[in-house]
Amino acid sequence: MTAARIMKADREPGNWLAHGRTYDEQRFSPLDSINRESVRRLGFAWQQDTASTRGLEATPIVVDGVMYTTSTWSRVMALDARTGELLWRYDPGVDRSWGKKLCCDIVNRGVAVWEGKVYVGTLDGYLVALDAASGKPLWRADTLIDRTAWYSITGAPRVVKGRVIIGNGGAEYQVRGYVSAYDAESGKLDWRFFTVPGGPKGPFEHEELAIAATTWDENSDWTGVGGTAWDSMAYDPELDLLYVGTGNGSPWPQYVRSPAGGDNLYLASILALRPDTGRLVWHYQTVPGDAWDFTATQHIVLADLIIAGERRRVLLQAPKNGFFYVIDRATGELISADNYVFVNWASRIDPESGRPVFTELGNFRDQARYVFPSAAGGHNWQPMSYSPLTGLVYIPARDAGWVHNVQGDKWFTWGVDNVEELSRGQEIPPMRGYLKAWDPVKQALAWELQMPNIWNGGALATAGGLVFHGTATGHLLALDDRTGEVLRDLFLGTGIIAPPIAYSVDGEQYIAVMAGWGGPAFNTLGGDEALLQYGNAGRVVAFKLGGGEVPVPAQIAPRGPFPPPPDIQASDEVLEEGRTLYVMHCGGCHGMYGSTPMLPDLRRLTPQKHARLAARRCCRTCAA
Amino acid sequence: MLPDLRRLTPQKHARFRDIVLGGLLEPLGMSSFAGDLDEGEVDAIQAYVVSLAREAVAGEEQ
Repeated sequence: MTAARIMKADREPGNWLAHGRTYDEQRFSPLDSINRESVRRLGFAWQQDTASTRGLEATPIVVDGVMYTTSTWSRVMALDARTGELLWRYDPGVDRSWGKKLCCDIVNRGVAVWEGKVYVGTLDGYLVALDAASGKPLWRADTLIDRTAWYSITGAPRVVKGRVIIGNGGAEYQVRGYVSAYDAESGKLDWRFFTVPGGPKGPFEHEELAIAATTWDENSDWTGVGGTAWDSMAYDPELDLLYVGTGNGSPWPQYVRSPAGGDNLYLASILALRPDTGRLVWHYQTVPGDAWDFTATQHIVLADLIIAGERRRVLLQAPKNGFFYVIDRATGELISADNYVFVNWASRIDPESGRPVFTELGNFRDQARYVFPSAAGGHNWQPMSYSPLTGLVYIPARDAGWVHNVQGDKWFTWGVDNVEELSRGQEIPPMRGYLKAWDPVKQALAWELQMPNIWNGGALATAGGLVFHGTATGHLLALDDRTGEVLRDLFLGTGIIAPPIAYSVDGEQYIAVMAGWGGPAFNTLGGDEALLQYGNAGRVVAFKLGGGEVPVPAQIAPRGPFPPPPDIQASDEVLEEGRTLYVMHCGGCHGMYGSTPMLPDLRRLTPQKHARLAARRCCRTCAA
Repeated sequence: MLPDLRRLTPQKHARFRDIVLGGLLEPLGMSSFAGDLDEGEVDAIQAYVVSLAREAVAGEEQ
């Protein structure tokens, strides 16, 4: 793998050389032997166990018949892409005490491969280079500026011009975001771009921070104001611009974080950086003064579109905030934006200023507000896909709201007993997941497929006229890219959140995907049917034409009755303290009011229990 | 797939502080919260979890 190869990755349809296959991150495969006609013969090729029962989010990389992928705790595997045979594995030995620092599961979204080396970012903040042939570590760099802060790495590195680019997560826990570039050969730190200032008067590590500081209250809580670059990047070699999406403000409420207001640069922004120097060329902030966890870290796609008769070099993003953005990627100028899911925090994006027009429905300074989209986003990290053949972007999307309040101790609609009141006067849609086919030129929905859960997989479009998409309920679907018609439905028995890929070896096309459901527990409320029936045995599964029956894991024993709880008595006051602490420290992983397998399995509830639950402080919108 | 805290066994409940503050299950991925929570706070969380378990048991017996 070299710079020349990765720049021309499009000429190697058999390989999946980079995270989004090519630097433009379209996640479109030119392979077409698996197509609308032949897909009915798609079957099982091979699978490999990942020794995990939690979320798997990786995009595998395939280079010349070898697949490199990751699983929980930042572990890496190299496989024979024809057979799934294990070639080597590497366990970075992540400190298990790091688990509590993860908002959203012990996940990893994949490796980068470059000139005989494999790069992985670990949950505990190291960037590790491995020998691609043997899996032996070559160097390890500590990317964290403060090991006591709650930083983590879940994102995949990208390699651009001999530099490994890596960000981090932690903006739920008051860290300061930055992205770093390391020399791919030596592991030496080359440059670092902080996405937010560390204080009102500096020191400013680079000049862009002096400008950013003017958009913050001097009396901000400077512990660490967020803006972490935890997922998306793309690169345009012609413009020589590296695009990086930045995250939410920390803590979420702006009137706590930066009480006097301000845009709070560079939160929730798309940054265009020079890969040689890390200097900022332009930025576009999607949500000035973010207060709703509206990250702009979602997948960035680069494409050339004909807009108003003119060929435009654009950047496409459907960030959490619910608007689909088409941006001129040379200048950062907004071309258009429209909402792809139900949105109530802003009425529109003003085309002149490029800024959102805020509504009062998002202002939770004085009262709780039921804000759409939720912190899970209209779209989250699950990558979308752009097909140049249909001109459509396929977005794993959801309609869901979130009750924001000053205390921040009530998540989602759980524990909130006045959702009806907060919904008054609004046409609130049902909570639902979708795969949406979006026309970026018309800013219009072409088709959508309703999903049985709000938390499903990423998308892959191919030249075979297909879109592949995995579900929380353990199905891999092949859809007609023009209509959304389901042409093939393969049941794996294990929920999917990862994006599928396509590759070929020896002339045979494969589709592969990581199967293993997980993520933040607020997204795993009910609907986790596959996990409850079949466990959640993580694996990578590959498919080919003429393949066999897909093996489904053995069903697990149904859950027995609840064990008798111990005789612990506590006052209402203590229980309320316990509830608040539980939400803050436990619920992110174990689930609000329990854990994933315990959360109301809505299929099992009797009408009596529904009534009983509805009368309690339990998910009113679900039970309704 | 994480433990349903409403389904904790009496044995686990007996070691609740050891797990949450002592890091007893850290090798399995359950971090120690020593430094983040004190014993009284852990007891409050346990009492809350137990109250959820009672609700669940009551729901089953219905």
